[in-house]
Amino acid sequence: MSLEAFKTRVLPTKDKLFRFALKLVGDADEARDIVQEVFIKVWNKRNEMDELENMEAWCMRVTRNLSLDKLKSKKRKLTDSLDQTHDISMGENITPYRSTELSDTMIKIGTFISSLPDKQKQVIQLRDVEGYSYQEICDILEIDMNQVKVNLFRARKSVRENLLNANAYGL
Amino acid sequence: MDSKRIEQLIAKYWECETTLEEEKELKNYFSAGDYDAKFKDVAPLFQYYTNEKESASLDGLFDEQVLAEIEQGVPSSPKKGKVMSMFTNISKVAAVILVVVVAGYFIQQEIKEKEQPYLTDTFEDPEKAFEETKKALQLISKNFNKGRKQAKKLSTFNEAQERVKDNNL
Repeated sequence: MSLEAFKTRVLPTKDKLFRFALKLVGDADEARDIVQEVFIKVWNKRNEMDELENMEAWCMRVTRNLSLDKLKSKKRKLTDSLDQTHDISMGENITPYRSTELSDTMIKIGTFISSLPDKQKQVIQLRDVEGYSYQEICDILEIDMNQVKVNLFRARKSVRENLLNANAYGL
Repeated sequence: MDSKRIEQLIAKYWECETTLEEEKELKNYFSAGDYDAKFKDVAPLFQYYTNEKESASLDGLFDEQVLAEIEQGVPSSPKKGKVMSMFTNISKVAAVILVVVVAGYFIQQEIKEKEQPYLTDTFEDPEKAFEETKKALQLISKNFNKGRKQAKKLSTFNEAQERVKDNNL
């Protein structure tokens, strides 16, 4: 892969990778570092890259693995409980600027989706936000097709219930 | 767009049977703004997805940093960690070797000290040794002679005793 090919094929995926990493680690600077690390990995393995069927999915998978590694080491350092880290990530994700753009219901949807179980959250992020196919999600998360479908189904079902509740009772 | 079709698509969406294109259609429909009022419950969800996709992005500065990093060809941070761990490993080995060497030296010292009385002579020069031995022997003989003089006195007592015995008989 030449530098030109790298610029046209790999760099444009940066926002997708960044958002995914951000959702996982909940810290913009760290997510940025992760994406950078992924790109350097791609460049160092550029000779093998051409043989990959779906490079984007591969990048996503590496991003996910790196993010989970970072999370693990972070947990060891801070020994934070899971709930606390969730709260922190939510606080950083929604800046005042963004929250003015978003309606109340949408903020509720956001908090609800981020409180889903990890697998469901990742699947719904990949499918509904980033628009990946089922096969690609299988590759990225390294789980089989059935698990992808089951997780997506459950995630959408919970989202739907939550939406209905929000509209009916303002919860 | 036909609101009936949207309704069908939403029903399919909840069943997870929509294709990517159909999901895109839904997102486009709701982000356009003028959707049918009966969809106001679900509209925020699809708007949320669209919004989320534009929520966070990396700027051009990031591109420059990555390209600069690539041109240098130096994967910086992870290698540093490895160098550190190598150093600690080597220092561990070095410490063990140091301990063994020091212990060995002291043990050798100990063994030498034990062997010294048997192995080494007090005198290097044989003539001197001869003189010293002579002196020591003379000292012994002198004292021995002293003792003999005392013993001679004893023998006079013995003689006297003998004589008294003879006279009495």
